[in-house]
Amino acid sequence: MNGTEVNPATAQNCTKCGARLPAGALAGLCPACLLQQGAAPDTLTGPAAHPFEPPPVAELAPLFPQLEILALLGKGGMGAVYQARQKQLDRWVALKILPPAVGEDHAFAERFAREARALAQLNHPGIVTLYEFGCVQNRLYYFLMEFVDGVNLRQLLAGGRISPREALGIVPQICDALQFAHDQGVVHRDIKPENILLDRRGRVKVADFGLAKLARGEPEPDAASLSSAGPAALTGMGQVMGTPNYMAPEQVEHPADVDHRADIYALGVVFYQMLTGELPSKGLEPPSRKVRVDVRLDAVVLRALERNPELRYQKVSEIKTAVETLGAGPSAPAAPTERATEPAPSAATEAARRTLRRPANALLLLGAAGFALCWVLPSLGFANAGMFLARLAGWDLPQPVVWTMMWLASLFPALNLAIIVGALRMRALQDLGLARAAAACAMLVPPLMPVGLVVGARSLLLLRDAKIRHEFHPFTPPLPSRLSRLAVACALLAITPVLANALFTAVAVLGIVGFSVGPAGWGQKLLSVFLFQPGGTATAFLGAVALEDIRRGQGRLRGAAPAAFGLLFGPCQFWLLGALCGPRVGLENLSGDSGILFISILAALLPCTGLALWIQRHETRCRQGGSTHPRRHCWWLSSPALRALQALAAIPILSIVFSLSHWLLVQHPWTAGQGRTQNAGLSVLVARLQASPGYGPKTAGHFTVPLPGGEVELRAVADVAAPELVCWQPDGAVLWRADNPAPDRAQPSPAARSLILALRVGEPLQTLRIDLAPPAQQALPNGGRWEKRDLILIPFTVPSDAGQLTLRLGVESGEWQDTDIGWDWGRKFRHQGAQIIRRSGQRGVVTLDQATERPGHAFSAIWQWQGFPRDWFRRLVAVDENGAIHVGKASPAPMGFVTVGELAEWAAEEVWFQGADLARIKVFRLQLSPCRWVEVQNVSLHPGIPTQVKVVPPAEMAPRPTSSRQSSTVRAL
Amino acid sequence: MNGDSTNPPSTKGSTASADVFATTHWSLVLAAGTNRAPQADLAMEELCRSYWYPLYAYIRHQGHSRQDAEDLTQGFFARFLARNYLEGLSSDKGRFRAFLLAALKHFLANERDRAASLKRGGGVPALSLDWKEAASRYQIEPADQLSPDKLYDRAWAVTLLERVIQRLRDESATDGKAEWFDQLKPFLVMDRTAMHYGQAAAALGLTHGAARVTVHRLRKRYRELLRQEIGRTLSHPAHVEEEMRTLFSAFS
Repeated sequence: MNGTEVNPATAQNCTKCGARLPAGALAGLCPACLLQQGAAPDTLTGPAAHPFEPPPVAELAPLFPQLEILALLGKGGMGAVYQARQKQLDRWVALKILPPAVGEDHAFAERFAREARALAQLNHPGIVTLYEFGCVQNRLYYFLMEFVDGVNLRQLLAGGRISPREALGIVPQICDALQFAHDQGVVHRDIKPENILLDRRGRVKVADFGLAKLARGEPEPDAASLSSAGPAALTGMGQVMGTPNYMAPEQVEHPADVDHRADIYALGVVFYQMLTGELPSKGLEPPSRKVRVDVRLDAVVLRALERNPELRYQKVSEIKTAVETLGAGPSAPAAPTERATEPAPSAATEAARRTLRRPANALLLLGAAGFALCWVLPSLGFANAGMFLARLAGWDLPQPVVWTMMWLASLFPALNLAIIVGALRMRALQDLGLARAAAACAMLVPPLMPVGLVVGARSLLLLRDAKIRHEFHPFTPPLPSRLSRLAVACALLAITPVLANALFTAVAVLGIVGFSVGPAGWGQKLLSVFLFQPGGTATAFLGAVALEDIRRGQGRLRGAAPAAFGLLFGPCQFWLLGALCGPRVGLENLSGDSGILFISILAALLPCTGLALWIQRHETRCRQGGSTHPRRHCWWLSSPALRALQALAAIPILSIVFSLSHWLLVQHPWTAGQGRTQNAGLSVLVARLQASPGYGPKTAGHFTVPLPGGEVELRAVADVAAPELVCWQPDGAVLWRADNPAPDRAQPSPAARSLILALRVGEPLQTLRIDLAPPAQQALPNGGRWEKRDLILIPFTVPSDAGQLTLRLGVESGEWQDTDIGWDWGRKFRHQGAQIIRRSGQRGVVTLDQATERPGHAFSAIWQWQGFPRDWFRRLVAVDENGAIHVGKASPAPMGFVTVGELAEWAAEEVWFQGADLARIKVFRLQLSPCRWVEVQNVSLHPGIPTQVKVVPPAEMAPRPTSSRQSSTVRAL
Repeated sequence: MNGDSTNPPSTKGSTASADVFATTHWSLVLAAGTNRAPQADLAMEELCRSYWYPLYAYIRHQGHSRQDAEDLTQGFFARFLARNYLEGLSSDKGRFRAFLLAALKHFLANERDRAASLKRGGGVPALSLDWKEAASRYQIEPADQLSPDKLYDRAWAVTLLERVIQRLRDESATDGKAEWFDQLKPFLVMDRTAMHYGQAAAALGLTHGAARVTVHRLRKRYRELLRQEIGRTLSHPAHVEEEMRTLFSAFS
């Protein structure tokens, strides 16, 4: 702001709206008017904007009952074109509708009819025939034109320069068409590459004759003058024009006085562009100085581009003669559409190709090796590369980090595939973006990262070179049309897990001998190779690239159906597996889940297959019909539909991510202990229990239960969910009451109560089992409980009317018995795996995973069980070649479960063996020890209501001396 | 290509929806919330630096003398920027204009109660504001019977428009077309039917057509800049229309 003083006398009112002008501030502009103008919508069009939104197909269809409208082909300043089929005549037509704004002029209707009639007289093979014209609903003007199955010149130009020979094949045809029109007195006025169509046989057809004038309406006398300010769109009074690049100078200055020579100028521009690839600039360099063409062509082109119409060719046919006499090409079509491959490669292209060949091949190898490695890793026992790396480095990472790495590593197959595809494109000098991405991925993606860094960096550097970059061009559609190889690969990759799974289930059902569902089973290993890795992100990537290619191929590349299938099915599988199997993605647990797994995969398979079939049907229908076999892209290849499809693939992946992170949070030891009861009340309880008199390792309390090997004291029962914290002795005497700092707002149900049982363990006991008799139910999953030093807290729920609690405490009897369940380490657990144990009418499934050497003369093994006979304790022993028995010591499983109760339905443990060599071990065996139960009855569940607590000893109960338990393990509580 | 659409798994829960639109100044400030992120502070300071005049006008309209108004404005900003300004105010956080006014009223109420002399600064560098210009501006503004709020809104609108016009002028100047802007400026407020380019075109030595095109571009650019400038003070760009209407109604 300027700091000048302003004279108050200059304040005045706005002439327009009467508002007071804040003098000096806006320098005379009225703020109200400014705001009003600011709110006005943009009535004028910008260069890239379209004046109107073409109505969707569904909206148009009822207006044209005689047509079957298929798809929007394109839109431009002068309207929109749709592909349609005339039902009665069974031929393909192009339906062009003009913007509604155009029809508001009253005189327009008359002009329209007059012009259209004149256009309809233009019956020439080189002119797109006008079949019909009309107006529906009194506002929408339309044309029905011949449908040309091919490309327009703009698209050809976008693919690279046209060879002079081809150009000289096209131009005479245009001349023929134009001359015919001029003879009829019709001037095109809008010649440009978009309006020059080439069909599959190489014939040229000029489109949109005279429509420019029609759509524009009568130009105003003087307001239509436009400045030659570059290629921006300029406006008349509400009228729309195309780009003035092709407009003759006189057409720009005085549009009303234009004659057929304007067409000649436009043709000259197009010719120039075909030869040199550029528009004629101000300097107007002759084509021969820019590219290798016949010098005599210069004269032709330059004469057509004369600014003064008098100096130009006066008839289009003169151009044709001039071109033909040059003898550079016959007037017969040179079939420019046969350039399925790029034009004869120039020296620069060849050089670029040679330079890139080595790096591209290196990348290819890298990607293939990486992909193969990702596939092989599961057979080594790792779910994927992430786990492999973690183990390899020997890091002791927290579980969530390991899981994060694993899920991240599931992206590796996709990234390796990206490297492969990018390298292939790099070799063919297509798709610079993909090539760059491949090089970048090579640098970042394990498992072959060190090599990849070098190769990728070198490739990236090469790709930065402007000369090489220039040689790249976008993927060109091939001719004749073929099936996209990427799409096929994608579908195959997506389907392999399904087949593998089917095989897996079939075999499990049939129970083929030697094929075990355990982790060591050969079948499992084999299937694991196919079961997980190819699915998921890899197929999504392939599918996306394939669909993009198909879209750019504009109908010449087929295979949208398999590509869409792979794109969606991969992530869906991945998602279902993740969501259903979740943390238990280890293969060992599939024995029970194989049925669920198969059904879940089917659930993903059916919609994806359905969609793919539907797309296929659409594609086939598009291809049939009509004598011209149109192969334009169908709606599902349009950009928005494609993007939607690709976005769909992202949803399952994202939901995996979210569900995983949620699960991680829930399972992390830090949160796992919180349960449903509040922390605050619990903390108060724990503090009080620890602080109350009588708390100490050796003091006996009121309700001590003597057990073989130690004693357990029932400290208290507490209610931390109610608004008032209450804690009472097992016989009902109230210990204390306090205000609950954070009462549980959501009770499990009005008919149940959540309580906590507090026990104190008098002496380090062997593993203690706590079993609550129904109707009480433990609240933490897997029989979990909270342990703090020697205090054990067990949350449980009881029905509100339950008055007393009965529980059993179990300890090992100390006698360990061998069982016949063993795993032969000498054969690396081959043919073993999940084994079933039955005792006392109860059943469990035990599985032993691999065993690993550990530093410091030790090794460990991981075992898991699903259900276990409740009256028995278990331990794992290892027998070496001398027959010596080593007893393993269990530590909490690395799966994130902490303080899993002894009676958990499913758990995993890592068992450590110290002082032994894994290499000398022959077998692992399961040993059992009967559990001694002590029952405690009549624990009061209501404070203040006394009960008679009774302890029922087991029949043969007698405290055992500690000496006989040398070989037993002690599990720290 | 577009095959990669995954994110590495994060253990954070869903974030506030304000994050998504943190492109405007005000939304940046809101998104930072109670955490004093440096870029939020910068954004806040910039916003304050742009729109201090309406506050000054409001305070003057309350009847404070020139000196007092200066002190109060300075004090308000000092406190505003130094403290956690988003706390304790549940007013319309979507619009910076309304928010600032509410904060100011709050501040003035407190100040009235205290009636003590104000401290300036306090570790926060004072915003350098052009008091002389403000005073003169206020003086010449029509002292009509407007409600203070409306006056505030008007001053806000004028400040906003000034900024936009200034930007427009600066843009033209960098193109070397400063004098074009001055000549064509009146066309910004004209109706389409009322435009006669003859005189302007002659004065600039342009053809009729070129003048038309330039004006058209100028108007379009003005609209863009206006929207941008308003958008800076909103938390959600979709509310621009409403804000414009509110500002316009301040003049009716």
